[in-house]
Amino acid sequence: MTTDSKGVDAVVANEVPPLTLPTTTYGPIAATSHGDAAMGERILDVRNFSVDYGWGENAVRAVDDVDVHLNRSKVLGIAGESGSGKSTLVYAITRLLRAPGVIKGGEARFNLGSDDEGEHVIDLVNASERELRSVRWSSISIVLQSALSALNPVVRVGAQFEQVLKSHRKDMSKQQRRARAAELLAMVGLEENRLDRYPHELSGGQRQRIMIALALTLDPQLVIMDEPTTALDVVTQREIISELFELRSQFGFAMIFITHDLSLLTELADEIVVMYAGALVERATARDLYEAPRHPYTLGLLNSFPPMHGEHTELSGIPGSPPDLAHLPTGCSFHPRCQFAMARCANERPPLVEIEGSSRSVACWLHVGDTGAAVPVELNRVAASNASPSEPVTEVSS
Amino acid sequence: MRIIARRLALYALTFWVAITVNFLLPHFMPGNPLQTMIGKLQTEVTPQEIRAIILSLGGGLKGSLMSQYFTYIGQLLHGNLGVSITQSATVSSILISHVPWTIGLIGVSTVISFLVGTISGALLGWTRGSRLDSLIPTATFFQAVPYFFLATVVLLVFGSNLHWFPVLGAYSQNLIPGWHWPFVASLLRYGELPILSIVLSSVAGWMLGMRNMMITMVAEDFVLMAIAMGLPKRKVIWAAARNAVLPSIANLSLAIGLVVSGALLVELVFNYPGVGDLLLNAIQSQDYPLIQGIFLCITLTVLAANLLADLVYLWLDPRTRTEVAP
Repeated sequence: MTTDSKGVDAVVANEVPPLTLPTTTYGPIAATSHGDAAMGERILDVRNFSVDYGWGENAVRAVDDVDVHLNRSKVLGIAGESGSGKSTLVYAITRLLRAPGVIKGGEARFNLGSDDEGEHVIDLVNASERELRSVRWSSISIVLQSALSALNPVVRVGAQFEQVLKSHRKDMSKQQRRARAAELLAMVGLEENRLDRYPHELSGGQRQRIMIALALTLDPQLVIMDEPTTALDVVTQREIISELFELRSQFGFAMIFITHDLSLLTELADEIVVMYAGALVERATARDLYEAPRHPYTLGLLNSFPPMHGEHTELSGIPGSPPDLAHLPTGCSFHPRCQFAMARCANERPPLVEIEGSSRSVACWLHVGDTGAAVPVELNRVAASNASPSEPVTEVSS
Repeated sequence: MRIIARRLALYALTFWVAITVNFLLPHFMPGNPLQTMIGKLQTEVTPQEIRAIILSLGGGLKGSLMSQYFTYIGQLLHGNLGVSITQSATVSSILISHVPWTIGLIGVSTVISFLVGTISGALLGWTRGSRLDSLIPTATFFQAVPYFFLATVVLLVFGSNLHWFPVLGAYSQNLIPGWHWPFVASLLRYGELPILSIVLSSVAGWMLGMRNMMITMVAEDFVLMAIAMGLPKRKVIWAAARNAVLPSIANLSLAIGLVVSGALLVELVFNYPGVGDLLLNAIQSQDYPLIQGIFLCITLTVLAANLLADLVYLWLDPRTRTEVAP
């Protein structure tokens, strides 16, 4: 494995967490750091980020004033229903959002790594086309949901690797490029002869593995996974997820994992943000979120999927359907579907605030001290993360 | 390779069906073709002429339909298409003197129109919503105007009034046809205006088709991936265009098939030699051998064009190479 980029060496040198449930707790968001503040361990810092679909009067707010951040070699999970804005957020951050999507404000600072001259930080929102092209794939790569449509159907698999290497590694010879592609395929457990195949000649699992290999071609610091396993059967899903995490512990790239499957996220992410109607409703470490959800929507999402391990539980789901972004309910967007809704919820919109004495935030009036309302017992559980040592989930492949 | 062999076999079968129908058609027509032709001649008919007509229709009316059919096929294989009734020449020699003009003029125009339309369509699809979009109504206007009108106006304005282009004919009458430079140059010069008029009237179809496919392709995930991969812009456009062009290739095969038959108006307006004019005259004078010869020629061109498009398609789209399991 050759690493020709300084940034990757730095990452590999970092301690990469093994494949266990995250035990790290995050400090509060450094709200005091401004524009040029050093990012340090932080690889991505997104602030006050808003995205509209359309212009003028017809504009619909798809992402509303969102803050997310990610440290090196960590996994950020973004969860939410369809239309919650989770994909829009990530595509807008990477400037891959297409018309009529428009970034209405905010910044997305990406840390390219440090050298003798100091830290190299780029604001993706204001980056020029040329700057973006230099960041794309070599620093940030992406794996899409459907590998069949994400691979060019008329180009051989090998040529797709070739294309990437030719554009970004101009000094590589044809043999070196071929060798690199073969090496990448071997990393995801595929034979070299797959390079001569066309995408339609491969199975869904093989295609998704090729997508992952492609994403790692240039040793990126950040890999974005947009529901990478949704189109696959459950067995292949598990295999690919466990392979993915082995690769991550080997190369130490950070990940943003977008999915509606919150129970999957609780196993793989370090930190999870939950989105509803374009806004963040809860942010917590994976274990906290799983064991003690604070927002009623998070609770609903958790109850919508069977847990990966443990006993069989009743699935309840969330009543109603996601709101029309053009006609959001007043107050808290979730209140028409919320079983704990109070009078206040219909009128005032709850801000995302940190829960006292913890490192987590939630946007719900139930958890604001001065309401006087009793917090329902479902939303008041205590996470066991600090009490008991985390149990490894390395057997995910089974 | 097996796929190509299979396609070739299919085309051979289609060709056989086509010549059989071509043979049978006069037999199903009301009246006796021989009598019709002799009546048309309105002069004293020599036995030689009667024999020529008989040969052209299948070689002797005395035999059964089956034996006539085999004689016809046999004559075809020897390149004998019979003798024209109205022009005292063999059908094959008449075709040889007319077909190259049509294929040259309409073929070149179709290819130019395809290239210009497809390339501009791809760029229009990529830059959707830009000012370039105004090209579309302009091009559509030229396609909507009836061709004979457009051609006449073009001829009048650029040929007769402005004298930018020579008019009438395929080459300067002062030159002797042959493969020497002055003649070829004159050929190209005289071809400009007809070609321009054909391209003008047909480019919108290619342009719109390609633009719409391009817009569909640009929305595809693999184009998003190409952008996310940080590939240069031209490679991103190429990735989309390479996939968007496939339906246009299929249409091109149909368009080439029309090359031989669809030339009538061009040849009339620009006084250009070719098959369209020939076919019109042959039908008007019920010159059956000539009609049969032209039909055969058209069939061959359509089949050849389809075969060519099929092969290009196989080459461009690997998905069509997958064989169905036996």
